[in-house]
Amino acid sequence: MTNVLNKAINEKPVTTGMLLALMAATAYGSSQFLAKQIVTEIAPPSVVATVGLFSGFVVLMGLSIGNLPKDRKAPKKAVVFLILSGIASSAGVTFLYTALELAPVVIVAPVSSVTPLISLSLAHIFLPKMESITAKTWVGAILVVAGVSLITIGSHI
Amino acid sequence: MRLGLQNLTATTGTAISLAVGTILIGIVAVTAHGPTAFNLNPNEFAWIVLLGVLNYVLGRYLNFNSVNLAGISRSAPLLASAPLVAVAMGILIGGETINSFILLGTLSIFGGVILVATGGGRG
Repeated sequence: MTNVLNKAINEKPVTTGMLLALMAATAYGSSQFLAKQIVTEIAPPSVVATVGLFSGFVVLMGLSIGNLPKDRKAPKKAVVFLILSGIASSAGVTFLYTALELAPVVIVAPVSSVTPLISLSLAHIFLPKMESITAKTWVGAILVVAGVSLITIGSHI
Repeated sequence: MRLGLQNLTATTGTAISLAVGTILIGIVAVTAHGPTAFNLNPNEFAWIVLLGVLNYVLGRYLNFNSVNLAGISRSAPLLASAPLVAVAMGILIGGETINSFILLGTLSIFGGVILVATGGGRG
């Protein structure tokens, strides 16, 4: 399996990358559908978020053991930023699961996908030297806002 | 996250972020639902673990490698199709219904996210 993947990466890196992107989209999309079933039938959103986050933590810690000696030397400021990121993203996950408990996937999934727009806006405010906003981004932002508005209208019909 | 990952590897950084989230939301869960909040049977527990691995490990691993191999301009439009997958599953498996406003809105967000993800210039 690994050999097949390595061969594909070496021979057709772009095609393999695009295939992996499709697989990632399938993983993210199906995880939202799965979350909907779990929060409505198994456990409340905060419990699902805790166990889900913990599962991810355990697997990622296992994967990052080799990097720990190097990562231990990271400045404390970096860890503080990651703690803040953990607070924000875990709140986001809990809100997402609560939304899935209350509303259909067909409404929650597209509305919750506005994340890149919010990330980019925050990056533009706090990291102006690293991120700039182009005309293409503005058009995208308008489309996202228009889409959210349409879904809001559609959910009340 | 991006500020933190300038000095740490992505896996360790994400693991720290997830550990903080586990503690924080765990406290919320126990406060809201009492000490028996985590009394799940093995089957229920397995479904939630699958959700966590699918989202935080597999999804992120594939996402990271797709951007590395194909570049953000090629992978972002495909990654942006995640909500379309969720909507399709909601309709086909979950039996949910969709009207023309929701369909148009979903497609508009899909197009917008592609433009935002591929249009953000680096300063």
